[in-house]
Amino acid sequence: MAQCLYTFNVNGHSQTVAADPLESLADVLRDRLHLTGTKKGCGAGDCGACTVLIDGSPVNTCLTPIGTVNGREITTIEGLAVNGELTPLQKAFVHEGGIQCGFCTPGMVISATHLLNDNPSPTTDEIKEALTGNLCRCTGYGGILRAVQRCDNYRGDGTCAKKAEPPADKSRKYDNVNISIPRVDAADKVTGRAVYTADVTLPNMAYGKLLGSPVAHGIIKKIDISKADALPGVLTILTGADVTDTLHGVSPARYDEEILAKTKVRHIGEPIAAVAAIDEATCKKALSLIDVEIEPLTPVLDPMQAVADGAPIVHERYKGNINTHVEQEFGDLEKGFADSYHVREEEFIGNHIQQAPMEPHASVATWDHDGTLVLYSSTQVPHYVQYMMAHVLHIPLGKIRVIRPAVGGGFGGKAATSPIDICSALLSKATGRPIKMVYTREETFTYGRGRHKQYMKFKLGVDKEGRIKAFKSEIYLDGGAYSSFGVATAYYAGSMIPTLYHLPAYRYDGYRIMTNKPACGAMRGHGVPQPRFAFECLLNMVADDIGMDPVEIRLRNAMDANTMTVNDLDIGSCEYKATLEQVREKSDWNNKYGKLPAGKGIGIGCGGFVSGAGYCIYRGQVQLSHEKPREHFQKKSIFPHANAIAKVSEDGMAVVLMIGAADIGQGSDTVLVQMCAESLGIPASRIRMRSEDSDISPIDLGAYSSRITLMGGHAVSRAGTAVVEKMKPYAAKLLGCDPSEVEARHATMFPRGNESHTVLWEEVARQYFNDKGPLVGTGCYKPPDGLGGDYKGATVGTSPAYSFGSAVCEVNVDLETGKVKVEKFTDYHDCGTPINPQSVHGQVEGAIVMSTGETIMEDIQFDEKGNILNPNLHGYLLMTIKDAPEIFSGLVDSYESRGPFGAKEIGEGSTLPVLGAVAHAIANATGVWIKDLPITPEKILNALRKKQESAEAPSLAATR
Amino acid sequence: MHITDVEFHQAASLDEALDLKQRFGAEAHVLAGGTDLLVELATGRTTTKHVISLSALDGLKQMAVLDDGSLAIGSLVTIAQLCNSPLISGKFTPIRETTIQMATPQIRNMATIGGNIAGAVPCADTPPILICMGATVGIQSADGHRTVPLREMFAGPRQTALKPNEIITSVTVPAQPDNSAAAYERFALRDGNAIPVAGVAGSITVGDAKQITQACITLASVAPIPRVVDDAGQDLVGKTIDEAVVDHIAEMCSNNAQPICDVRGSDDYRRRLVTVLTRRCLYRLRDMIGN
Repeated sequence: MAQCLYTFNVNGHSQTVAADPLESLADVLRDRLHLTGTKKGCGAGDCGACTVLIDGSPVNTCLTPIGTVNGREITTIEGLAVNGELTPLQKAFVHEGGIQCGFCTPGMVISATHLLNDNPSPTTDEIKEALTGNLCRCTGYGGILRAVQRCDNYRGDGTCAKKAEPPADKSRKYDNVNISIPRVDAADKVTGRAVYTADVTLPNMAYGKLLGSPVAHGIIKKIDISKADALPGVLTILTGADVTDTLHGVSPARYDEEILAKTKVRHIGEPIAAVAAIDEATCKKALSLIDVEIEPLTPVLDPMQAVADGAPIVHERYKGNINTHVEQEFGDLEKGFADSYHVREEEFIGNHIQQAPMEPHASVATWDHDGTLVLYSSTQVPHYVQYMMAHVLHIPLGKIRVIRPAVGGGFGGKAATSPIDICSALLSKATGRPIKMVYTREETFTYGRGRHKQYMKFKLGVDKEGRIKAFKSEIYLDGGAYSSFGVATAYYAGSMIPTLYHLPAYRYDGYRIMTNKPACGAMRGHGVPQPRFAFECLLNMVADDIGMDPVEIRLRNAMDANTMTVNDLDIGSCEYKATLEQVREKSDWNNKYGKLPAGKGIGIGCGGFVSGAGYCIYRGQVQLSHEKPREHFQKKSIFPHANAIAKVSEDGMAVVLMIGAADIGQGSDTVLVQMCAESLGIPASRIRMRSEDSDISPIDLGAYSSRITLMGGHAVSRAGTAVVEKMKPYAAKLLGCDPSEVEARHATMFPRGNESHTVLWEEVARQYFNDKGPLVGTGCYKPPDGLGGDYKGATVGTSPAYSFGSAVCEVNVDLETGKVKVEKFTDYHDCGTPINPQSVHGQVEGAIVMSTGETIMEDIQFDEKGNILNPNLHGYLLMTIKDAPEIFSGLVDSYESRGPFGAKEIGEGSTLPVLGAVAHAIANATGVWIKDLPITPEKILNALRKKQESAEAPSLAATR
Repeated sequence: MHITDVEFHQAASLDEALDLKQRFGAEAHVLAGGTDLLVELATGRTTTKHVISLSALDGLKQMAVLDDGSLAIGSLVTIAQLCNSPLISGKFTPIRETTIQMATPQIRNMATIGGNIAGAVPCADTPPILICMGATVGIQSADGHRTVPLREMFAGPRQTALKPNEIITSVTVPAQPDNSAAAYERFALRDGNAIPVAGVAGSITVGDAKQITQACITLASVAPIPRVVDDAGQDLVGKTIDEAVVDHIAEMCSNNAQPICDVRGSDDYRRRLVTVLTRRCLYRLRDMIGN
């Protein structure tokens, strides 16, 4: 209907807008008033990211039609910090680790502000109740809870500034690393100032939407766009016939995705047309007017049926629907099992889960007049997006500028180039206008790239002392309709098992299977969490079988430092045993395990991960793939995986740090600034990070394989060191010493051993500029040459360093309903020397909550036609603040000599112990093992019933 | 349906809303708290041509305890109001104990009691407990006013006894007898913001020897509509709550459930939950009476 004028008060000022009455308040605030601090995470009132106060009460603006808001008072996140001064609560969020990706932060802060207005000293339960409508996928709610609880500490002046700059402690080895400073982007995120891709608006911008296939498997017979094309406001419509035949994907050997399906569709939601129009509403209307005729084929949805004879074929090129088969054997398996005192075989099944970051994917594309594509993308891998865009658009990488605004979480879901990255560019080219495309929550599910569901057959043999003699793993991975990351996933599912325990003999058979479901991809812990869950469960079963304590059996098999694993992975530092001993003591394991009443349980799980993949995803040098010669694999990195530039301002007072490492919420900008500051000898507050723009920042491969702290860290610290080296002769002249004696620390330079004889750092920088012009240092990092063995797939799992961790979980199970309350986690990690301990604990807490949800409630469900039954955040359940357990996160002393300042990874390794620990605790509480994920209350009750029936059966027989 | 194709009517008064409803009938969707409408338009579940917003009808946002001790709740009273109002005390407390478990603070600030009833989704939390407490619904149309027992309001999933020209204006909960108790037990898959997989509401009134004189058991989320288990209510009369009675009633309720299988659980699991929740509900009622 016609637009109406609505007048209401926003943050103290009267606003009048013309809008359709059923437009949501969220859209009006964001698109018309440019108050983009209010975020849209689900559009259905499930996530709370769009929360504002209306007449003082928190509501979901995505559900509020503007027609009902006339005359009302609205407070958005932008209305809290008056004249730029953060409220005490906002300061508390900044300092207590309440912020990671920041996408949930505005809504969270609004809800908490409302709570504290009514109730200045809330109890923990009251805080949880007030925040139960605000989902967070990153923090595990720990930092958020602490921020609200400790808000009082941030009242009064100056607290924020004082806390931001800890006083120099001259006794410390380091000034800027191994210390918890607030995130460099926290203040922007807590005030709603941080710009995410969907917040970007360009002049003359139009919008795009994709039409998804309504059937899971079929042949496209006809696409008639004439009605849609005639709709006023529609700018252009593209179908498969309008786009290149070049296929894209992730693994170069398996590019198999069309930009828009040309002849065949392989899953529901697969893009078949792209529309550009003057606004999103028109796009949606146009989609409904496109006439599509698809001849349906029988969909194949179950991977175990997909490999059966006569099953429908998803891709002709993948015979028998087998996308890839991994076959690896190390050591003498037969002998290992023959020598075993006890052998146990079990089957486990994982679940199909989704990263579900709070920010749905978004892309904005525009073309400069010189033919340069400028693409804003919510990606975690800007360089690979650049590479893939070059590949499908047939233009050099140098003609593509990728801008990565703030990213609201990724967890692997934003690690591939998305259809909206590509289609926004094509629609922009076709219309000559900037195009914005944003996925709905449902589209993030039909786009997929979630965790592969794995069907695992495991066999483990141990000797009398519990030492592992042999292990055999056979895994079928449900890949969905396309390869995406899946080849690597299938290899990772096997390669990472030997990093935790000494395995003298190991065989792995992995099969990635094609099905008519959205493609699975890389998700936090890439391929490993399910096999790790299964292995840890099996190890606990075996320990039980031979009467050994589960911690003890781990200690007897645990990996040691400086070991080459059976599959040729080079383990450097390793404090795995220390993590085991610490969790045992801290959780009071010895007094609890086996001694708890029915319904109460305690369990242990362990895990670890790579600190960055040893090899780039594509071979050879950075170059348009079509122009690349056929290259044989070389056992070294061809180009540096992380590259940094530190540029000192002309007055010496600031350093701009440039590196294309993607901060997607995990906090990489902050730790990189810390490491660069350390090598420059100045406080972190003097460094500004420029990581978002490929025109400014040199290549870093991105946020995947937990690589940035180690690889990016080396690059930035080397760039800092390069700057200091250039400054040394000038400092030496001022100090009257030899350049080789000069050190930089606390923003001064001095002769080694004489810290009282100083010259200001900035003065030296100015002297350099006066003489030589720009003061710039560069640094880069290549993984060591020669990583990995010489067998097929040996590169997967290689890394400069490996993390280790152990977790103990305590649960309470309602034996009548099967409901699991995960009450407590005790976790110790070996992440090397932490750069920012608060960030490390934030990763651990977030991983525990995410992976606990993965273990007990997350599951994408499909109907028999291939429709997702729960493509939303009320059917697909994420843990709320009320579900999150109490968490103790501890770190063991560790130093990794291959890592910068002794550091290793934490982001993915932190997920791996969790699933097994929860499963073990549930088994311990109930007496039944649930071997398929998620461990729902219903499965627990079914297992208890089955156990009871089989217990009763013999006694019944006896009475007959 | 696209929002730009829907005509929006902001009713300035109840009379205007009723006039509009009279004019557009089934083609008009009444907008109360609005927690469903935009989602249903976006997903195509609703293809309404007209939306009549009641947001300006302040008269329907009030509640009061009347002279006869009954609680009159305007249909636009929000779930948050029911959680926080001092009027929800004493024998009306089970209403708060139910509403505090619903959805999220944000949703509770928007969602209304009228909407929770008129939406008629099988998993709605308020109808079962209100049915057990004997609530009636005030319904108005251009033709006049009528009162319908809440238990007669539901015709099927998302279907009610409302005629196309009618709007719910109030819900009235009668004064509860002194020697009575009501309780609602629900089960959900997570602790925060979860839709019930199954729920059991119950009410009893007892005589001097604690023998039950009147009882009502209503199931949530396990049938197309709130399922009143009349046999259970009748069987409880004359009894006191002991293990044998509880077992009998729990089995009866489980047999009376007509659950579906969906992403939240199978029919079998829901029946088992009904057994457990009925037992818990009855024992809680016994404890409440004991006190």
